[in-house]
Amino acid sequence: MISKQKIGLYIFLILDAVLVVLCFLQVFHPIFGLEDFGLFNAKGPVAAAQARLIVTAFLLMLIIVIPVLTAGFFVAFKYRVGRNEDYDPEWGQKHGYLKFFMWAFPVLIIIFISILNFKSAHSLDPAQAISAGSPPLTIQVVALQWKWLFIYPGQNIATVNYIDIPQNVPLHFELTADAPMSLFWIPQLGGEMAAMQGMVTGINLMATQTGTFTGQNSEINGEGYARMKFTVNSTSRANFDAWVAGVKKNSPMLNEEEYNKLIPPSQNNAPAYYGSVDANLYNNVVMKFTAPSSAAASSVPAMYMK
Amino acid sequence: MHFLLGNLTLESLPHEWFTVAGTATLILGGLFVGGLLTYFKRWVWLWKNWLTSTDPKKIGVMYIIVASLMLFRGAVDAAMIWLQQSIAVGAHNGYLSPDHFQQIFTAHGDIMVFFATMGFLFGLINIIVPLQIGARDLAFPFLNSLGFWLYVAGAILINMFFAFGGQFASAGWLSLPPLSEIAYSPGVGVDYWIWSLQISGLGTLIGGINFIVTILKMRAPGMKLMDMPMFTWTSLCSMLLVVSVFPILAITISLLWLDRYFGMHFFTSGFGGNPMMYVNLIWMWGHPEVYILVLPTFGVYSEIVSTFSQKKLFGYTSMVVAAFGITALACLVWLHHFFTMGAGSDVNAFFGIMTGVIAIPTGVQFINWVATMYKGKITFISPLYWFMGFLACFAFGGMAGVLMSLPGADYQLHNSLFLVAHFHTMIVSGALFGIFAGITYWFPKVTGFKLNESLGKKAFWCWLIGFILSFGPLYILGFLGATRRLDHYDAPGWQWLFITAGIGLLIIGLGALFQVAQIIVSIKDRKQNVAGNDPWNGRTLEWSTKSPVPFYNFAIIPTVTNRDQFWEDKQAKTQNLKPKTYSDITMPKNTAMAIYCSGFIFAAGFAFVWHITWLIFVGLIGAMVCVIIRGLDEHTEYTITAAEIEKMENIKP
Amino acid sequence: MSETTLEHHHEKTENARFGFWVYLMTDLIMFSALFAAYAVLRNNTFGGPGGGDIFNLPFVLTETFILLTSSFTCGLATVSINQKKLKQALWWLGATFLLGASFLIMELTEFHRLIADGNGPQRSAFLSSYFTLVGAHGLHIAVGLLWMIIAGIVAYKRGLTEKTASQLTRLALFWHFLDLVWIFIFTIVYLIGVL
Repeated sequence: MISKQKIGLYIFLILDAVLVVLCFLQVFHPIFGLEDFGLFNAKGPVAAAQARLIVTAFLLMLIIVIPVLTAGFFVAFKYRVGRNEDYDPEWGQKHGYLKFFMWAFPVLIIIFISILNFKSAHSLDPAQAISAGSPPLTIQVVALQWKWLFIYPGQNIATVNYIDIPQNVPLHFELTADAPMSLFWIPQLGGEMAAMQGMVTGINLMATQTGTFTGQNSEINGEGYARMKFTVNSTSRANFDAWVAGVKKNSPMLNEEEYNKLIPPSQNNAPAYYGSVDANLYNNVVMKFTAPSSAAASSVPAMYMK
Repeated sequence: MHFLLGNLTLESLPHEWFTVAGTATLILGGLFVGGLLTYFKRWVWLWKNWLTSTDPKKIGVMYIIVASLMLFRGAVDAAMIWLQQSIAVGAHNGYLSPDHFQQIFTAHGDIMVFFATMGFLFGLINIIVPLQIGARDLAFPFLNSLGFWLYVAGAILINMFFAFGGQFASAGWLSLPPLSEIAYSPGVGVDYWIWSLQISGLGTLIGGINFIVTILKMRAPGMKLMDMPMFTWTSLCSMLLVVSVFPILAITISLLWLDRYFGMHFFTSGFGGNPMMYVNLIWMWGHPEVYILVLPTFGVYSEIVSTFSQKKLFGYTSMVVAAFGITALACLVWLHHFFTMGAGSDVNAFFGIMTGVIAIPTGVQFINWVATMYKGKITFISPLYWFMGFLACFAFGGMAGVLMSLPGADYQLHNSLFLVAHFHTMIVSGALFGIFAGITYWFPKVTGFKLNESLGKKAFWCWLIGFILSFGPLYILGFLGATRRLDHYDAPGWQWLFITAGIGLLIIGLGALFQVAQIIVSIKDRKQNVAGNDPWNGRTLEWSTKSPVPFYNFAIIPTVTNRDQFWEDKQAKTQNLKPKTYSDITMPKNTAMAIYCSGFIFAAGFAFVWHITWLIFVGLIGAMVCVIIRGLDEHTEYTITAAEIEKMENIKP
Repeated sequence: MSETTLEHHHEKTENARFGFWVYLMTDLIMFSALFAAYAVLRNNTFGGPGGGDIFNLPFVLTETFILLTSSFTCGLATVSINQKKLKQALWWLGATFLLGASFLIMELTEFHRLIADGNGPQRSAFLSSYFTLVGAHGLHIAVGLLWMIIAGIVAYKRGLTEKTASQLTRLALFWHFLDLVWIFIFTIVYLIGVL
């Protein structure tokens, strides 16, 4: 006859097994409508790789966590007082080989995780350029209180709280801030990278699909932090070029005077567009925190990450 | 006027609903307690028997009481956060302004870490460590009292903003610059933050030194290091971390203060300041701080598992090695808090791997606990329930932590609600559950009677279910792309998850009510629940002395030849043998100097916040004079004669 | 005094000695953090003067010799304590105090000169970190001097007991520790700054 506790244990084990199978299925073929999940609803190679990494590492750890937890609850249940025929208060004090295994088991898993760690730290390094057919599009980003300014140096246009990006073209974002530290994050493309005053950090992303995504700040930088969002619109190359031409034709120039109007804190700014940009503006923003006067800004700051 | 009051003006007095409410609560609470004390004529009793006591057991109890109050204070913040997040979606802005919301989560984080969890831990360590190592007192009784009163001064100062100034820091619990610099946070909030942390941190540092000396120098004769109970070991590890990293915290926030007070440029945006240095320094303290909180409770769990399994701890040596492994590694992982700040991939990989490696000793501890239960005789009572709850939750929290140690994954998870869920899992199930388990476990030792078991179990189930409901949704929200600290969000799909989390908090609140009821009922029924000296068939020295423990702990200092000395004595039937003769005992006298001293330091802290120069000097010089007077006092101890001890020992409880 | 109380007092002294060592370690970590801040910020002059422009090496060298000498006289005081010669110890302690006080005055003079020249700690991150690191050491020296006065008077009044002797020994330890920190300051701040 099977005891109640054994039935309980079997149910637990079966549930665990189902969980693992579901996890595996999830990796290869989403079944749970996770397209709602920003992180797993990847629209680009970086976010997709990051989502895969999360699931893989999670499954690796389940290999040790499930047996330990199962054993833990099983043992606690089995040896509760009154039910134990083989109480042995000295058990385990002499079993040297057991101690070897209990170290070896977690060490083994962590070795795997460490390999994963090292490889992913390099392959998913945000500073690493993405190789695709076309040359990368550079977008300079300035985090302000509480809006995002984007400068397209190649196209000589600028926008606020909105970017248009061509599909399948690597994007190179250069981030700086004229506000307390902010974090640049587009969950569906990958993330995140800090934007800091007087420094330039870099992150490379790419969208392989068209669509509209939300970008956001994920580091508190004052009152308007929660509303510091921007829209990312991924379209075809042709649409992108048309958009650029439209912005160029109809919008004012972003010079120092216009920029200074952006500096005072404000929230919920509607998207704004600038048809041309003062070529020194971005460097001046970076340099104003590293030297007494912005006139000294002639070179790119030392902490430039490529 | 400015000379007299610094920056204080009429404007600083409460005039908003929450400052008025906070101030009224403080004043009414004070009046209520004062009234009770006057009515029952307990002022002198309170002063003589408790406040001025140098007895670590009493100081420990006071720590736990203050920490409970601060836990309640932090929980009110948590409830306000959840209420805001449950309603502030789309067109709704919620009932809090963004700035007020940011003050609340800042205060919540600091209060829970510095004043609730740390207070509970210092309470438990104060009560139990001397008993476990067979000592009568700490190495420096006065410093212990001073450490406690500095902690209280910090706890009061962090609440003073209700009455004066009306605003707390709103830059997150670590107040990262440049946001916390005067340019972006011109008010007094960050100053309150700096000085309450600085003062309580000083208390923590003093306590750390005290416990290291106590554990290393004052063990009972014969007790080798490898004979120490696990709780003492992990407390030692925790205190080693305290003395290693709290100096860094002290310097870091001092530098921030110099920036704010004197206009220096350590972390400012311009003038060559380097905010990234602050981030590095604060996390060099901040990460080990997590282990300072969690290590002692690992010790509590070890004690509980072994006691309630009626079995020797499996792999004692491995446990000690693992605890030290965690201690050492804790200092090598701080950079994983900011993989996203643009360090090179090799640097990120190094810190990521080190973080993953911490999972090894932690995993070993887990396996050891399970192996300890194997072939045991397990009594399921509430301390063990807390342990099982911890086992289940902490494993998943740990997995979440290892996930985020992968820089590649952290780029997506950093500062999301996934992170918030992760560290709450670690602190609530790791530290808080262990604290509750420890309090239930050692309660009879301190008071002489057990806590009500059925209410304890109800409290546990509420906490566990409430906890899962509160933080489960936060993991999911993290995956959905929700960042932390949102006073408002646009995605309507998130709202039900936030509401679920709020319901979880209500259930936790119910659990807390059960705990309060548990204590009240247990005190009422104390006659039925008399515990005796050794209610759980314990293993370590604290169970060999009387319950409640006499102020001198042990009439005769025990001699130790074994791990689990008391258990071995019971096996050999040599426990509690009446000694042939007693000898005189020297004990420290009570002292009020610690209260005066921290009172002056509190005044100085308040004066620093408000730039009241004369009061700064009065506070600092006063505190120094107190310490000098105490140092010159030749008569800090008194002797109890052997005859008196014998008389007290022979009273039947 | 019975044997157990004597033993008890001895234990207390031993605890105080060990506890003081632990405290010194924490203080060392504080100084390490300040050194780290200085190392990070030493080139961040933001257009202001660098170390080479403002440090007066001969002056600092004199300061250093004074402090080293005070450490030496402090060591002699310890030797006298160990030989149970209280009077001699107090004389050496007095010499240490005078040397320490002159060191502090020289340091304040230097600070005053820098601030008067417009090179105060508000000028740049480099100067902030310089003033804070050297100032923190100066603050320790001031506390040491105060302690020296008190411990000296107490030892004079109460004679050389185990307690007063241990107090003086700890004071000496503190003084040597500050000397050691100064050697690092001298090397890292002044020598490297001027070179």
